[in-house]
Amino acid sequence: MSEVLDIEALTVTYGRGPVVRALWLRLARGDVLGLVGESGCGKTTLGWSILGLLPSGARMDGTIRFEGADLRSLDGRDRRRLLGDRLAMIPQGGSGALDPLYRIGDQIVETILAHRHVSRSEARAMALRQLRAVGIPDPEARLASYPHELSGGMRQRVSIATALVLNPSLLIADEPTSALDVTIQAQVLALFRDLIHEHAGAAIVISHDLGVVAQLCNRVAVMYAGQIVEEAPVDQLFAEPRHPYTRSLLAAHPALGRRGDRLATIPGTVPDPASPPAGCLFRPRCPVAMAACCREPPWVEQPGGGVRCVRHAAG
Amino acid sequence: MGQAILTRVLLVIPILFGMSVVVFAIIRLVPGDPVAAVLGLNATPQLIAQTRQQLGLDQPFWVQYLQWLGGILHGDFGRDYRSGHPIVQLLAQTLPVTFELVVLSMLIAVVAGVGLGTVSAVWRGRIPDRVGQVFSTLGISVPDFWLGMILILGLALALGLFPSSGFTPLTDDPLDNLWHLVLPALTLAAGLAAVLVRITRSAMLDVLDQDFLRAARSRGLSERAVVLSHGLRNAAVPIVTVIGMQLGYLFGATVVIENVFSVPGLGRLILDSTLAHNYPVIQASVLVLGAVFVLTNLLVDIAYTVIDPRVARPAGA
Repeated sequence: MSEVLDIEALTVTYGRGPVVRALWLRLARGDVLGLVGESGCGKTTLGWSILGLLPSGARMDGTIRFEGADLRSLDGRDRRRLLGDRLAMIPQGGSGALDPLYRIGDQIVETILAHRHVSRSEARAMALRQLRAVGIPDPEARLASYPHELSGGMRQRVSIATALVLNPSLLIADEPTSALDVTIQAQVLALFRDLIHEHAGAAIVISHDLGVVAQLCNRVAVMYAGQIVEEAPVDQLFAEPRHPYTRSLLAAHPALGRRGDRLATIPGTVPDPASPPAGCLFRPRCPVAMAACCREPPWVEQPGGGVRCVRHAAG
Repeated sequence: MGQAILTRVLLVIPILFGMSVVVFAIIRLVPGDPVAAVLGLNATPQLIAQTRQQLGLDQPFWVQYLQWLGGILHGDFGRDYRSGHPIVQLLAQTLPVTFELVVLSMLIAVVAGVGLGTVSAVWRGRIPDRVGQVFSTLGISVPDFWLGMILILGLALALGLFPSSGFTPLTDDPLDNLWHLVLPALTLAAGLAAVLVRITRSAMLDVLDQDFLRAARSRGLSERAVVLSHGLRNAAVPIVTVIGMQLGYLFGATVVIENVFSVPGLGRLILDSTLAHNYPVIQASVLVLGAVFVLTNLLVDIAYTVIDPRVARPAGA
């Protein structure tokens, strides 16, 4: 199994405190990992820190290896060579990812020309093929459209097409369907699943929607307050969630919670990064917290993943 | 889009018409008798009355206006009270000079102002940004006539790098012409460049924060493409707006600068003719200056449609 991404002890700190805490993550070729958690848990920050595009003022510690290369030691030029080519991102709210002043076609062509020695017309042909692949009707005409002339669903497809056009070995998709109507969402999801397998070596799908993750991914990592609290193959996580937070999250999901039960909510709020609780970060909201939770919870390896909870430690 | 521009172009006509009324009226309200000024101290009442009739000043106000307006529509701006030369000739001599001076200042101001503003935004809070802030504060607070005199004293008289005054027509010797215009153009450009540094900096800071710029970086584009093609072009709308507004200021400031540097342009013609109560010359030159301002603003409005496709092609159109 060849490693695509290997993150070791990644910590990202903004002004108020750590947003990502000593996070470890590995991704092999063929993996499609769902990264789930409430908003503010650090999912998006994790995504951008892999690309090295955190806002100024953010501090980053730890190592990120992409296909064996230490991303953080690369200079700007070498990093740019990877971005958009072997390491691509679909930013959140796809419509904001496009420059309003340039035609769709020019933005895709510009990306291709930044990485490949091809002629402008060859690049256009590649862009056209990719727009057709994401199911955009009348792609020739759309190449000449400006972003404001397309619907949100179309813009999202353009973002997907742009990210996949050079067949990246790692695709990071941040809430790829959240800006879409439910009807289009199913369509884009199906399309997206095929495209990931066809064009991308591996993918991280960031989403707060467990339904999206269930459809797209083969592995799931659950994030809470900047840590991964549980990681498991997708079927196992839904069938047998181990971490109390994962259970609460599943119970709070309308389609996945048990039929007939009242839809649960998780009491309390995500801890303030500046003053986290001692021990397990979920302890103040955990329905099954006990005295041992005041100590740092261990990471307990499980088949295909692991869980950060003292209840699974003793064995 | 075509219709919006056409409406905008047609709007220029009533604006110019209104301007002609205001120019004409204001000059009549200025105290002082032009005839007395033309004839000097030895004028007899009889001579005054005769001259007044010759110049058409005995006619009612509105007749004078209509005659003047009718002439302009035929390209006749009247004659200089003193020399008797057709004013069109005076305008043809002075307007290109002022135009050249303004264009040159504009180029200097845009290159320096937008350049320094962009650099300030990209290196926000660091040394280039500090330099930009010092420069823009100085540029905005230093009066241009004073800066002109300091430049003459320093660069022209003390160091002898540039001529302190005078002018060579562009057609005689382009290099020498440029040589003479460097100091006045620099003086004129300083204020505008300072304003442009601030506007560009804040517009760029806005744009650099946008999601699509980070997305452009995530596609592996060069820093140059990110900052210039995507950043600066998105910041261009507020910058162009300010350039358009400041153009009027620039033309107005030529009245002072051309006198400080003895440049024979429209600005100096306006001052000379005002001091001499030379009504037709003032009217014509102020009207032309105003028309140039109105037309440049029209060009700025058209420029928006080139910069931003959302103006030219609104969604759903």
